[in-house]
Amino acid sequence: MLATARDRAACTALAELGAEPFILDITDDGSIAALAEKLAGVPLDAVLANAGISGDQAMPMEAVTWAEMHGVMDTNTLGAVLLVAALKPNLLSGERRLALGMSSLMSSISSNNWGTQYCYRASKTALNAMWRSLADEWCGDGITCALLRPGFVKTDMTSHSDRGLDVDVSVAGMVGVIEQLGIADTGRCIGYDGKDVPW
Amino acid sequence: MVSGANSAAHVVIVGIETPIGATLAGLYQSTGANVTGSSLDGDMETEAARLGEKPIDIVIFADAFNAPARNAVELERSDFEAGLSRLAFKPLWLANRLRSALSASDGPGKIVLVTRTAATMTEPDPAGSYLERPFRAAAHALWKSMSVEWQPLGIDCLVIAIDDATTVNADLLTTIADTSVSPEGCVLQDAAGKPLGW
Ligand SMILES: NC(=O)c1ccc[n+]([C@@H]2O[C@H](COP(=O)([O-])OP(=O)(O)OC[C@H]3O[C@@H](n4cnc5c(N)ncnc54)[C@H](OP(=O)(O)O)[C@@H]3O)[C@@H](O)[C@H]2O)c1
Repeated sequence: MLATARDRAACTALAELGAEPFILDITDDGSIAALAEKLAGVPLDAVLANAGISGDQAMPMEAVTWAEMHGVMDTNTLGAVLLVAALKPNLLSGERRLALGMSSLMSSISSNNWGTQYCYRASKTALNAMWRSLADEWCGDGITCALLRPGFVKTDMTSHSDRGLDVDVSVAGMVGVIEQLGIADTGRCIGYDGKDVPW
Repeated sequence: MVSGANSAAHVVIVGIETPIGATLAGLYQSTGANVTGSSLDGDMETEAARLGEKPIDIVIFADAFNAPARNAVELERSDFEAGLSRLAFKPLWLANRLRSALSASDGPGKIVLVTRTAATMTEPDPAGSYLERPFRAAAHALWKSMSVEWQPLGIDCLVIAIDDATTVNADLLTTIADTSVSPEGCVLQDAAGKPLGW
């Protein structure tokens, strides 16, 4: 199990959990390239692009700036696709060949009947579209490109809301989904509950 | 009242120089509508101020965007900026600057995002796969939010997929005129008003 964090203290915490830690900032191309170089020749069964930010959740639509939209997309969408692209050789030499993106119910245009969180929503919808394109392109390589939906979970992003799922429940559900994934699932967006997320 | 055949309508077409924009301009002009052309090039503050001076019945974003084809491993972070800006950020920004002028319309104001079926999740799009499709999809998400939030203000936000300028005809004007958005927000439609999947 390899895991990444942005600073040394967080890497130490990952090591204590039993993972082999690496420094990575997915908004920094040099950082992605350095990780790919360190992992050159290492087969990977799965790469999960989990890093994400919510941006300013209370920002009104008319106040959305280029800096806000670009910043949220840079992490949630562009960083995710650039990371898995950089690690494609590792996936090709792995057995399961899973390129996984962390999506959200907020990516679902059809489920949105209350607005709000414009940049976060747009970034996750764009992530879905990127992954659909990856699924088309990498199908011939035998790489399954799937999106996961963790549910509404008690984490820093949700200020550990009481309404959220416990992390253990969400993660156990997603692990169950990941274990079953095969090339027939490429291009799907699947929830921790095993249900497809509507586009 | 906005209608495909209403001579009093003030219609703003962003991307009037594109084949779809030009065809729409001709169709609206033939109904006697007052058509103002606009573009996402140049200074957006100046453009927003110019367009927002008088009430608007219909705004149509018919901008064209051609992204170079890339494989995933060829992508560079800077490649994404043009599509994100042109397809998602600028339309959202300008739409918000024109909200008051649309609210001042006699009937329900309409703000239409013209898109492509290749930008949906279900159609493979090898050409625009990473540099166009995701940002059009992002714009769909933004328009959906806008459609929910502006419906109570009397503004219908529509997303219409048009793949070919030769399919732009009077039916499209009727679709724009006749589509009312529900409180649940807009659906993706084709030019004839048929619902499509996102
Ligand atoms: N929580 C939910 O209810 C929920 C629902 C749907 C989807 N999601 C998605 O699930 C994923 C995980 O979210 P979470 O709830 O666990 O949020 P979180 O507690 O805020 O964790 C986000 C993680 O992403 C990392 N990160 C942010 N920017 C990064 C960058 N540029 N490079 C590398 N790492 C970066 C953060 O690192 P630092 O510790 O260094 O800040 C943090 O570890 C996200 O993609 C999120 O959008 C969450």
